[in-house]
Amino acid sequence: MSSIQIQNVTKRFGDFTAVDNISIDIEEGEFVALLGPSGCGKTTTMNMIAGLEDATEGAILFDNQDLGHVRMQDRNIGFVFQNYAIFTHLSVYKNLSYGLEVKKVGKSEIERRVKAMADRMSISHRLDQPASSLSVNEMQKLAIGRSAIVEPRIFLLDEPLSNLDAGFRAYMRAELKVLQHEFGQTMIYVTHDQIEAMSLADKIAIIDQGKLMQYGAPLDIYNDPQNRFVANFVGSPRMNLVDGELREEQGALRLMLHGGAEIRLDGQVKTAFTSDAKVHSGSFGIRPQDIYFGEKRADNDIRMQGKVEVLERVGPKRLAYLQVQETMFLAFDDQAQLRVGDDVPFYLPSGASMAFDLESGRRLGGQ
Amino acid sequence: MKTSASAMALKYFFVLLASAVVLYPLLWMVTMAFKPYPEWTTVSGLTWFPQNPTWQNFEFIFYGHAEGLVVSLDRTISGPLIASLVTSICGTLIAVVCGTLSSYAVVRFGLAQSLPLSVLQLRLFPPLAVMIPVMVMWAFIGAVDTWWGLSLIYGIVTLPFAFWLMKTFFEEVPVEIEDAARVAGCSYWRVFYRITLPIVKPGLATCALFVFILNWSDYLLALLLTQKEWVTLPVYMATLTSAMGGQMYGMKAALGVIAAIPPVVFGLMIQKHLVRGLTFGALKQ
Ligand SMILES: Nc1ncnc2c1ncn2[C@@H]1O[C@H](COP(=O)(O)OP(=O)(O)O)[C@@H](O)[C@H]1O
Ligand SMILES: [Mg+2]
Repeated sequence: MSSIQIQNVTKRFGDFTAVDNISIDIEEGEFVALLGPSGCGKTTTMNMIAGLEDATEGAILFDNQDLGHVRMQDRNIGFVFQNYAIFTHLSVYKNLSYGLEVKKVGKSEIERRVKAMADRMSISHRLDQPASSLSVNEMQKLAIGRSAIVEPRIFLLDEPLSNLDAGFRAYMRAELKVLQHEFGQTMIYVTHDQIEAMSLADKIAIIDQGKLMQYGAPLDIYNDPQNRFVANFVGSPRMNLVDGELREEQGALRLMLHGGAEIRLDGQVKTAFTSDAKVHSGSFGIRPQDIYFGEKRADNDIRMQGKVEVLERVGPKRLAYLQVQETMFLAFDDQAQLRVGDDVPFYLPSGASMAFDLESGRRLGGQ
Repeated sequence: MKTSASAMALKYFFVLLASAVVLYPLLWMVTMAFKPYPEWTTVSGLTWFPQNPTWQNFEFIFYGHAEGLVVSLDRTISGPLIASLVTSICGTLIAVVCGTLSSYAVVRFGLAQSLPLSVLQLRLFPPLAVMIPVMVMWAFIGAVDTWWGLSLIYGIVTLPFAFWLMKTFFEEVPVEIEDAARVAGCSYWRVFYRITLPIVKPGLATCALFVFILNWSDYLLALLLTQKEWVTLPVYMATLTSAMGGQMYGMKAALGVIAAIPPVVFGLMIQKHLVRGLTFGALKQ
């Protein structure tokens, strides 16, 4: 088990910067998720941690030791690849025993550990068959078992669930959580699925176009996104983010939305928007579950008026699509009071609203 | 998909037609090999199958003379047969080993990115175009009419083929499979011979067969670079003429039958790989 320090790491392929000055500190035994859209540099980051690729700049330390000169075979890393990378020309047994054989573990010991791992992954009945005959789900289990069997000091998983069907995926998600407790290993988990990251990880690193957007505990990221990208990426359904120009008239600050509507800013969110005088265009963010209907609950909550376009059932609740001019707001119809076509007032609580600079995407006046 | 009966009939008709065109000369060669002298010299009564099947032709090329024939050979098939086997196998080894290693370096390590095209240039003109300088060089290093001289030129001439074929096979191997082995602690070399090579084994076998056939059927290079000791089967076949009997077609046919055996046996041996081709079940994109 090791801690990992990623320090100002940059990776370039020719002129293209795949990973751009990323720093992440991972403590011993922590489960960290790298979350970001496809192509943002997650796999490249993992490859550098594993030592499969060298960083162009910066350093990656294990337990504060630079591994630059440590040979691959002495790093002791478990890596589950995005496409599993099963040795299809070998049997399931040979796949599991491979890492142990390379490490010259004794024969009886190998047999014992392979049996135990196969049991753990419930693929014992397949041990003698060629690995190429496995189903996708079984390959996934084999890939995890093959990496876990060597008891690596860190465990890297690159989108291990993305190829699985929904049912098995939910099962594996729970299974991984159990596994992590069993191994107590430092784990880095790559995913582009924010729900997966939210439900599994102790900490999440959100990456976009090679840059680290935010790193922190799931709830902190959810409640306090530091920029527009994170606010938009995390949460389901997504946060309402509406862009516009800031206009000040007679002491009143308004956000003139690009769709023609306007938001009369008030309270904390107004303070946030005014915290930087250089900002002229901004983005207003509010999560669907924070919007409410009916009576105004606080003095500086912002009143809007919109037409109910669509009502969509999401679990026990209904999600309302509220059209204000050209802009759409999503809100939960918590009291089941709306009907399609209604023109209703709704409120944006100022305290729950967030302000972003549209140009840089930076959060304004964050806590 | 459902196909109508007439479409099926048409399909089989064309398959049969193509087979007939391909197999006709083969059939003629085999039947002629078993015809006695009068049957392949006659102008009037050519028959499809030997009327009096005989081993006469085979006897003749193996012993230099045969019962019922007045002519005799000063040279039997054994020398050329060995020469062909030795030079073809060595040439194939050279091409396949060099082609495999170099294409792997190009594909996996991004080395020598100009190599694929420059290797291809070796095949952009007929080998004959450079044979005069090659003959001079070979004479200079004493490689003419030696087994290694001929093997060397076979290896060089078929190398581009082996290189390009192996290159496409290596490109199919997902780099993650190799990475998985490296993470497990394998050195590059071990990854190559324990993981990558076994995966491309079908490709390697196919490549070896094709290169072997190219070398085995060569006439020109052997004609120019051998004189006596290491004359190969195709060159030897051309010498099967006699002042009295003219072209010895029956013997040539018998020789053809024997020459066809090694590639056919080789092909049957690796048939499983040829048919299977390359499938990589692990890669689920
Ligand atoms: N070996 C490489 N050469 C050039 N570009 C690469 C290479 N590997 C990755 N990239 C590029 O780097 C970017 C990040 O890739 P990757 O880390 O695989 O993204 P992901 O977050 O989807 O795992 C992509 O745009 C990809 O095209
Ligand atoms: Mg990836």
